[in-house]
Amino acid sequence: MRNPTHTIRRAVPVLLAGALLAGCQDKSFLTENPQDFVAPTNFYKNENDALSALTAAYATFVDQNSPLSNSDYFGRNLFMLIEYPTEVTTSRLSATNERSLIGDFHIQFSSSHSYLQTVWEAAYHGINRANTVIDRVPSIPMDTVRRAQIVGEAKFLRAMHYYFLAGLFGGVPLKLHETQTINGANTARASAADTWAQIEKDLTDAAAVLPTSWPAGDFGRATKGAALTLLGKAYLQSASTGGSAGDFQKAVDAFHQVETLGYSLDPNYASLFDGTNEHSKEIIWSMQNVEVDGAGGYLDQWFAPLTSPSIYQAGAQNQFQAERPFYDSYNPNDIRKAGTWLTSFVNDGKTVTWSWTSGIQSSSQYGSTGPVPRKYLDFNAPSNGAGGIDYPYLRYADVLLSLAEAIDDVSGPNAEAYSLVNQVRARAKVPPMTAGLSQQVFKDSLYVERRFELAMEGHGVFDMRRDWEFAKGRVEANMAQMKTLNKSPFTSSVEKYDARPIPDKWKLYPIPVTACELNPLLTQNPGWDDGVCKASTGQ
Amino acid sequence: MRWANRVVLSLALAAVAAVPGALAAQGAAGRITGTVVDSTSGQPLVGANVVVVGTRLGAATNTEGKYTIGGVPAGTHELRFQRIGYAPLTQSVTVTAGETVTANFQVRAQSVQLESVVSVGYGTQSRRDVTGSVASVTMDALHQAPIQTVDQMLQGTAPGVQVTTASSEPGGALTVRIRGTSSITGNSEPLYVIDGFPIENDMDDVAAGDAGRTRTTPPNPLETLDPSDIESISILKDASATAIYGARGANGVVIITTKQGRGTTPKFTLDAYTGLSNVAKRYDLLNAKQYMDYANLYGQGSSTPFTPFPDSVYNAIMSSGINTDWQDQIFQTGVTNNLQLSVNGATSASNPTRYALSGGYFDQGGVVIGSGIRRLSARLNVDQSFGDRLQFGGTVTAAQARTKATPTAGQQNGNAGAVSAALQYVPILPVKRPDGTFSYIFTDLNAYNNLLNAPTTDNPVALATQVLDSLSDSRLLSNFYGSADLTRDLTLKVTLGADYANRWRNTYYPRTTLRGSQVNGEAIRGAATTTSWLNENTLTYQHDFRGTQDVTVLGGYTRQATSLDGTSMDNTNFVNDITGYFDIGAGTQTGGPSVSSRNTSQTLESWLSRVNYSLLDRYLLTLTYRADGSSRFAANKKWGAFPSAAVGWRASSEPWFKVPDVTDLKFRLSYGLVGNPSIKPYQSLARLNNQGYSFGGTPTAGYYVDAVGNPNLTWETTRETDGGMDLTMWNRVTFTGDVYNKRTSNLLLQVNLPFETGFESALANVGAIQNRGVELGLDADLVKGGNSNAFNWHTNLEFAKNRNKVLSLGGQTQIFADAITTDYNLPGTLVMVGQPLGVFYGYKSAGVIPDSAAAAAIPWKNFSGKAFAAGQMKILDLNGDSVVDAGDRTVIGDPTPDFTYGWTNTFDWKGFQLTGLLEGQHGGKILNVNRIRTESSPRANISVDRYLDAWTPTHTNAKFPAIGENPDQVGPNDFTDNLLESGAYLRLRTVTLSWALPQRLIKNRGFSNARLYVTGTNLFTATNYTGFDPDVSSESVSNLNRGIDIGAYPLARTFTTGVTVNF
Repeated sequence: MRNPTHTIRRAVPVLLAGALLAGCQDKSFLTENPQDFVAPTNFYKNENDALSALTAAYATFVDQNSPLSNSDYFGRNLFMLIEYPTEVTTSRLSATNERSLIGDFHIQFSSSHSYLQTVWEAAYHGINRANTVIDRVPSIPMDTVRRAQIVGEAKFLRAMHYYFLAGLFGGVPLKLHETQTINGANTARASAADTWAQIEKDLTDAAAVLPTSWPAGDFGRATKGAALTLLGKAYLQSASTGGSAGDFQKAVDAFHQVETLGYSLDPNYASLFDGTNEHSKEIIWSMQNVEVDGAGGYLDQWFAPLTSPSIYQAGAQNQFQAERPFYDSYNPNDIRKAGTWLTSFVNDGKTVTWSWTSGIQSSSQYGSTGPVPRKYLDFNAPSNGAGGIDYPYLRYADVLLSLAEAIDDVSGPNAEAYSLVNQVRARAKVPPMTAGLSQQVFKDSLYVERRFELAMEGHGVFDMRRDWEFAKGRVEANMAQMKTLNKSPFTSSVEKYDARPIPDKWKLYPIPVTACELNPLLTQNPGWDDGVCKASTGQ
Repeated sequence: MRWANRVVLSLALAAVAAVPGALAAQGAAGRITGTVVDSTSGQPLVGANVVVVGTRLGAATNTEGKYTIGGVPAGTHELRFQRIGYAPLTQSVTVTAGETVTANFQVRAQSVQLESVVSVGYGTQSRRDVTGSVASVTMDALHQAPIQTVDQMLQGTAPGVQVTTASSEPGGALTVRIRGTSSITGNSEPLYVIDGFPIENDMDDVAAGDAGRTRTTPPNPLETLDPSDIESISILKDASATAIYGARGANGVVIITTKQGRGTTPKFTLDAYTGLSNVAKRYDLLNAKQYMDYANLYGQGSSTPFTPFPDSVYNAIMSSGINTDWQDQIFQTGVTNNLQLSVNGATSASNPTRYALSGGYFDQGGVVIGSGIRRLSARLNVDQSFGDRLQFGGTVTAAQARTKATPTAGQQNGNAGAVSAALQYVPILPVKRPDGTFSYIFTDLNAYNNLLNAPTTDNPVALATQVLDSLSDSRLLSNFYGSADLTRDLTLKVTLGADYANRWRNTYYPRTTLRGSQVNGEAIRGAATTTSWLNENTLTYQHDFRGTQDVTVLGGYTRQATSLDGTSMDNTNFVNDITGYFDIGAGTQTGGPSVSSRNTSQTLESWLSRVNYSLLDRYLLTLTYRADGSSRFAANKKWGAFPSAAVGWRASSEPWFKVPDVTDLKFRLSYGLVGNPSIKPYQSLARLNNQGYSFGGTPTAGYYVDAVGNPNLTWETTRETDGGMDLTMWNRVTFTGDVYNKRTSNLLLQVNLPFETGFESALANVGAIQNRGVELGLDADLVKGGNSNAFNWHTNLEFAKNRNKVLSLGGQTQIFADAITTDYNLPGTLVMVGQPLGVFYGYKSAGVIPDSAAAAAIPWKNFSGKAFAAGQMKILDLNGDSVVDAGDRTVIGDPTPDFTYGWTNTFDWKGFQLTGLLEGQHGGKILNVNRIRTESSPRANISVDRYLDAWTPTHTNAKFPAIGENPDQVGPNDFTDNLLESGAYLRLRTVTLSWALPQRLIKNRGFSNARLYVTGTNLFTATNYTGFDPDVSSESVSNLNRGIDIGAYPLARTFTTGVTVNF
């Protein structure tokens, strides 16, 4: 028999070696490296990843992945919050429908209105996606020029979300970095001035690195012109709603820069919105839509006339219609009337026509009895959420009118200001504006001009708040007139247009109450106290 | 953190290693020899250990029961005999140098648990020195009745261990809860450690797919282990005992030890049995005539009165003779056959190779046609000693289980299994139509009158016989070790093991089934492979300081890495049904087959240590510390520390303790911290999703962070205090009692995030749950005869009571579990602060309203907003708003029993043994969803009670409301406490009569022992539950939605005869 001591002398080192080998520390032993899904640990490595992250940031506008739906933001709810309040369009629904509450400045409208939450949530969702790009792309090894542009594009997008938030709600919590942990998630509201300052900074940064144009295959990316246009609009909005008056001149400067970038008005107004001229020299930045489910426009469903059979697979809902006093106020020669509103179309080979008195389906809740928006309607959309026509959000006509407004705010209307407005009016085939208006009257005229020129393009309530007293009076007068016309265009409600005075609390929307429930640091806007959000502090 | 752990451990181990030098020098030595015999049978005892107390000296007995210990220092020694299943015995011997002294032992078999050696994780400990709460089940107790799976063994055998049947079908899952449920979303099954190898056992993980059916209970992951291979089971219950398993200890630990080789000559064992099973209890449903009578009454009582079976139809059906008892059609006598052959032994006495080798075959037919399981298993345990200081060995277990997972259990409507369908199918339908196709209730019953609104449930016989659903589990578990006694006191052990588990599930729905007919055949294949590697390195130091102090110190480092790889595919539109799932590519599904795959891997790295200290045999201390580093924990929380401490005091060893009746009295107190690593791999990480956008009309892919990561996600933490006592009186009565308080915090829940984060919710550690309870065990030899022919009566009584309470949900007040069925959208059980976990939530009722006066006395309106009428069920208006509406729902029941108990009796007389286990529970509610169908509309068959005891103007004292629409008067997606039934039961789980053939009959035929037995299982159940079986949780193996019966597979009553032969 072998000597056991001998054996153990040989065996023990083997055992010890085994134990030590296993004990050798490789630091990655406990690190998780998932392989069957994409995680931050295996992404953000190269230029393709950077572009993918940026694409997803753009895609916030069309996203329908949970928790977003494509009606949450520009596909409907943001658009409704912006467009319903003016005299241009109405929801056509009964008075207490949640959509009608917006356009009617209804007493029941409160911080618990669900659209406030979805807009708030979607904007911050988009901000977080932009923050991801801004935080992560700078360390990706790639072409440095393109890398700076990617970050610039993301800053443009972040600024746009904050622009919507600031215009609707005032100062909001500033989230400038990607959310990577759930701790310390609550952030208090920044002041309105700080919020606008952040927008200014992002757009200035973006304008410095972005090109003036992209190849056709990249159309829709932010450009220097887009950043400067939004910057000018932000200065104008901020200065007109309690911000620094010095920003009016900054707006003038920004718009003057845009003028040098080669944009021009397109002679064919209607073509800007029907898919035939999406890359026009007039388009500075448009939301890109394709006829692909999940990557297309969603407004079609809410614009389209209700017919039987529906022109869309899942059924049009037609929740926007022209308000008759406004519709009747177009100059008869104004090409923008036919470019903005639809009164007939061809369905199944038959021409369907309707007027204020002969609705297509007047018995239905959604029956169309007045002109419906013509812009963005895609009669070939394969399904809801797959409208293929781009939404031009920044275009040169807006630059001209906004520059005129900024000049007026700085110095009163001068020749340049009149010339700017009249370029727009000339294209619309309406007579030029007569010189000699006071500063305020010129501003008021611009508000009206913008309604004709920019109807249904997502500027309404922003414009209203820049010239609040005038716009408020005009909307109230419109409501009074609508009351006398109560038979149409709406089907059901007498109560609806009660010509009620618009309270000044409407200068800002309330912070959504659900946001306050989740973030107790949030304060409510004046006049909207709801018992949940902290009392207003005058932001 | 990690470095600190290592430093502490290194120092501890260094200190330990330094001690042996201080050992007393040895003087001249002598030998001890002797024989160990069983006092009852007089037979020599093989494989018993005899040790010299306070030294490492000892020996095992050979086949003649003989042992010899050499090198014993001169002087007087305590000599101790130990063997599992026998009472230890100590005697004094005086050894003289150079002489041989004889010490014989006469020992008695003993199942009193306190006197055995128990596995405590990374080692064993004498039962009498254990300071934590550890229950153990020895193989003698285990093998009294044929058992199919390991977890079944736990039923009724250890207090505080609640075993619930998720499905009684062959291979069906059981849920095991040790000291209640302490998690909401996490796995609450105990950790199973088989021969030192911790097995990944998360039943929520339906690794190989669900065959396209919703909410089927997953198969039992332990089914590949043959119970006959098991030597003993230890159940670690309190935190002191489980802390050695750290982050995996919170649900308790079940340590399974398989049989090892012993003795010298080979010992063969043949174990064979065959059993016949039948359904223990059926639903009493209407026959054809009664059904049509009921349907006509129902039609008359409807808002649109109709007569589904006018006289002409009625008479035609009666004369056709069709009166199908659908339960008869799907139930069968299930046949079970089991055969196991094993051999164990050792090659030589000096440097022995010990081996245990076994092969088993098990084939169980279910009581529902089409269901069954077959298992083949083989196992080899080998140990080789090299001298007395070095040992190598290993275990290899290979097994495959094939389950016919044909849809037998399941939900209703399109998801129904054969059982639920059989309860719904009406007796006036034939199994097959005259053209040979299966009848289909939706078309065939609606053909009589479509106001009957028949469900879209497939034919039960078609479900049971036509669907091919085959499931295979293969497992290769191997673990090898090398062990060296570095010094007399210090042992190094290194193990390396691998667990390879493969599961596949292949399913085909042919055209003869409803599902298959709709898509021209559907094939589904799923496969998953789990591979786990384990390396453990431990150093154990044990020293007895001259009988006054005994120290055992354990230190170790382990690593385990587990990966899972799975694929699944689904195809439809087959040209014919001939190739089934075997040629899944033959399907021509529009858009092609759907395929998916997944992969996860996880790692665990641990430092562990334990100190057991005994002073004067009466003051006991156990300290445990484990540090677990897990890949599943988030980046900032990779490491967790799990300390525990326990003290014990054996009062009976105090010099002043002079109570002659008390053999042993010990008090225990422990406190510890353990974890539940409920986080699944990668759950702490952010996850990206794709969302495209178009530039210039070109769709472009984009990726965004869809789920926020939580870098602080960590284990659920359980802090547990346990106080207990162990008392042995007159050497024959043992009492064990424990009280515990277990508080689990850091529960893993989805919490809402501020919108400004860009996310809606994230997984976080919030909330707390408490479990408090009492466990009592009594074990006694009531009658103890002196010899083998005398009458013996042994009894064992177990009692456990656990109270569960949700303390916090991180700011939320309540969470509903998922809807109970996809068919009814019933709200799931409710998790509510201050309530037990998963209570039922619904309306309260107060009986059938007997007459119009009683109806008029009810001031509130019913759910329809109308006044109550005679014959309706009275539903209470709890919130006082004068109408029954959703606001009147409340907590109406708790599925958790108040207490559970088990009582085992064993009688021996002249080689005959009669043993039986009575077990049961008190309290606990069951939601019998089957009754929604069997007590309402004639769209399905109706229970006899419902028909005969329905309210009529002349039968006003009725149990059930008048026959007609919505008898409960609540909304369609809710239920009343009428559907809740008491889950209390008392069951004769098993009773076995065995006869050990006398030696004179077998000796000349080459047998050493032979035993014949007959066993009855589930012979008798006392319960008020109206369903198949009150021990049911058909909906789920998770922590919520327990105590729900939806088409559960019926309980089987089984008679088994068997023989065990040793030769």
